[in-house]
Amino acid sequence: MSERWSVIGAVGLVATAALPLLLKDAFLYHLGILICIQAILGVSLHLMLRIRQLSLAQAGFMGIGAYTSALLSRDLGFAFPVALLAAIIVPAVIAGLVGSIILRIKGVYFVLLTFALGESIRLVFVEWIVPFGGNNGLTSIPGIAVFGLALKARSAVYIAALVALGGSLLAAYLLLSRDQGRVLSGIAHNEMLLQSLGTDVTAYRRVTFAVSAAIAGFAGSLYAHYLGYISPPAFNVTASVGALVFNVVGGAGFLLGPVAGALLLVPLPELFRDAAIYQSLFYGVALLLLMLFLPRGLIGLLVGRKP
Amino acid sequence: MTASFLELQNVSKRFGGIRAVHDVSLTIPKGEITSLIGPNGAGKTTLFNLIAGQIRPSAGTIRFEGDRIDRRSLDAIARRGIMRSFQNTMILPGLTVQEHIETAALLATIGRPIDLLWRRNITRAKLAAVDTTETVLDFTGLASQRGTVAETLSYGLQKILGIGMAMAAKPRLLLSDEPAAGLNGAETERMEELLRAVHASGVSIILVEHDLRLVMRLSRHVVVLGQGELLLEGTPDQVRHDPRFIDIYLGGEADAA
Repeated sequence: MSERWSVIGAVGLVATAALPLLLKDAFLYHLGILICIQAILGVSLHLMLRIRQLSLAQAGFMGIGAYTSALLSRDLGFAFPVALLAAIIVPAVIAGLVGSIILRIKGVYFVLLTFALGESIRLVFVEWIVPFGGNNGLTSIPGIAVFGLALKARSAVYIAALVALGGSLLAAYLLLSRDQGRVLSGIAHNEMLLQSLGTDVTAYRRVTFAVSAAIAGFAGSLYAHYLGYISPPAFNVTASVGALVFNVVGGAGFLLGPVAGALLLVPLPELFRDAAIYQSLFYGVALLLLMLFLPRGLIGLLVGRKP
Repeated sequence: MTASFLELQNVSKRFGGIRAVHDVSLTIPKGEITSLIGPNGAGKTTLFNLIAGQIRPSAGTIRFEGDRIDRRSLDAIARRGIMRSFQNTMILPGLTVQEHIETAALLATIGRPIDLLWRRNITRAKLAAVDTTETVLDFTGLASQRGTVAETLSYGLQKILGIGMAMAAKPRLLLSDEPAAGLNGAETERMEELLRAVHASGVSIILVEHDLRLVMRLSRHVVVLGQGELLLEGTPDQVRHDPRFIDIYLGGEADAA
């Protein structure tokens, strides 16, 4: 039953992913790339949700990745791969350091702390005009290049974004499976028991937080180099809430949940430009309805009743 | 009796203005079952939590095999070999009895994320964990329920599983908080046998238990606490005939056994 559905799901995903390549439409490519980037942000939050800690700092980490990568390549002349690597490492290190303190706090207080952290990160981008450019942000960020070859064609960037999404999913999967996955699921369900059996729960949380920030930073780098322009509002708490909505809509219990959520929700404001101002309202209502009627999300609906 | 297996020196714990434990000095011998008894509010559970590292003493030191552990975290103390099984049972949802024991055996090897880097250690530990799991399943008498989802076990069997999980992590000192509370006669007997078997396998035990008959049958060393202070200690016979013990349990205090 679940095996058949995973085959159908995989075929559906591949078909959806291939759609822009078949239709060769510039707007579809653009949408596809944005979906991949937002889905990666969704995957980064997904890791935190798996240890039952809602972080609203994810978009902030994405911003750190975006600005790190943009400044390194544009102002300091580093090659894209180096900038990308830095965009992964810097947010991970920051999350690891901050995590040592804030990960001891749980529940709604952790949410509030990460809310404050996310806003602080955004304010740094706004207030420190040198080097972050303030409200105007940064422009003329060089494009994505692989082995010194600039990806000019949208199709090539799209394929790169798909590969990046695949890589992020793989990284998340590795963290959530096998031995470490058992530990993380134990932390989510019965932290006290694991501690009594000798598990350093805070250290495992810190690793998860760092990996999730790394993935968010990765998304940020792709975002910066794809659009060529970044500004602080893209990394505000609303963007983190967006990542939460992807997870809830798609199914927070499944690794592919945030991907399904992003696939459904990212095109909406792009398709209905005028409705963009109602996005927060829409997210709020969608979140309420889903929690009431579809607590396991779209993938939960596909997979069936069994938890 | 090796000296300084577990040694408490002038340990005190206050919660606000309340003296939960006051100036307790105590040596817990290796290879014995030691029981902490006393009326409600005597500080048994506080002392227990202090040893396990769940709370930190306001004053005094706790040493395990010579090393200070009173400033260490719960999980660091567990990695040193002091495991606790809880008054309330602790279960992971959806996992079977066997998976619980396997998980406990595995966690002993990967307590810290950095341990994940030594794959060879983990592979070796997993091979060993298969044997450990079988041993613990036999040991606890849970072999026939190995495939049962642990949440569906009876309360008594969940408590036995709790001890089994602690054993799978290979402790040197087991802290057992009210193992017999809420159990019926047959279950209490089974628990008693299990604790004897744990002890026979070379693990020292500290027991907090209200059932005085069980305490007197099981332990060689009994520690009596009252209002946070150490009142007396000794063999069950010494304690039973001490006027102070009789005073606590038969004169005045209502919740005697």
